[in-house]
Amino acid sequence: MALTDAELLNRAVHGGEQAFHELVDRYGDELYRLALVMLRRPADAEDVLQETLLGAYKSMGRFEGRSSVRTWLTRILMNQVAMRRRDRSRHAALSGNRDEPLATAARPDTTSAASWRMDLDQALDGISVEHRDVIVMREVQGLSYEEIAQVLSIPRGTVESRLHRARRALRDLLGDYKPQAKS
Amino acid sequence: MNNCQYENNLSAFLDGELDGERLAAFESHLNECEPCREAVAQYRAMRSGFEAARSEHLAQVQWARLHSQLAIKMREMRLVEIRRTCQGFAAAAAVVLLSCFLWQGVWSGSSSTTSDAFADAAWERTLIIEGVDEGVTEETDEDLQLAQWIAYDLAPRTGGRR
Repeated sequence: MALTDAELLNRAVHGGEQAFHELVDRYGDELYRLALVMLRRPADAEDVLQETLLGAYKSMGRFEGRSSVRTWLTRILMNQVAMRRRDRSRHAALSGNRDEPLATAARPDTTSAASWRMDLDQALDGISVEHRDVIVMREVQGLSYEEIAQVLSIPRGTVESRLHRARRALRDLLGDYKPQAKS
Repeated sequence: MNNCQYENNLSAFLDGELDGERLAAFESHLNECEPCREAVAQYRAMRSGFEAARSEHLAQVQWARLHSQLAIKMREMRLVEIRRTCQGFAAAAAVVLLSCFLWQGVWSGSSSTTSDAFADAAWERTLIIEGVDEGVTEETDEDLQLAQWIAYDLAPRTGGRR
């Protein structure tokens, strides 16, 4: 029988390195996805994922189990993403260049679905960071409102209203999207 | 933009986060409200745009890199921890040693009269045995001689008078 996240983490805390690697296997993909949509650059997403997992390894002894391991890891990732964004904007300010998203531009896919994805990525760039964070956590990672509230340390009602505003803003930016255009 | 009073419930409805009463009220509202129905359809379509993002995953080579990097960093972190623990022990040992040293210093300071007395006694013994002892003997001889001279000087005089 597979161990629960909490059991794995407990083993990892008591020196079970393999248990931690198992947790990495469990959540690596979904954390990477989240980082990729937030940062758009696969290399940055990979770096942030690694930093997140190391941060988790370093602080796992202090994990009190008040939230799920998944929520805890997501919160660490969101902090790392925020730091990476700050670094980028500082770097962009110093070099005088505008930070441009690369991940979607790197895909030479010309299907309508890919085109829609590009539009969506651009639209995501057009909404505020706090709206983008909640919608990505909901749509990409599939976190519940309660979990998003825990990750961002905000009330559940705020999550609901932010998600609503985020969707409305995206719809305004994307215009009337026709679902049948998707291949 | 939809100006319907139920508009705020759209997202929660779409995400399955509406509870019993709110859900029932919104569902009955949807039957009557065309703008809300359109908005739900648009949001559902928009959701499909995230499908590609949901299907992203780490490639085999990225997994391998991630695990090996983590293993290296975790080992480094353990070494740092061990080093820190050792430094802690070393610091504690240094404190203990210093305390012992100071404590001994205090005790030896308070028993200095005893040790000084021992040292004086030893010194005196040495003086008596080597050299100074002879001096003392010479002094005694001199005194004896002086006493003899006095006795000698006195003897004829007392004898002459007699």
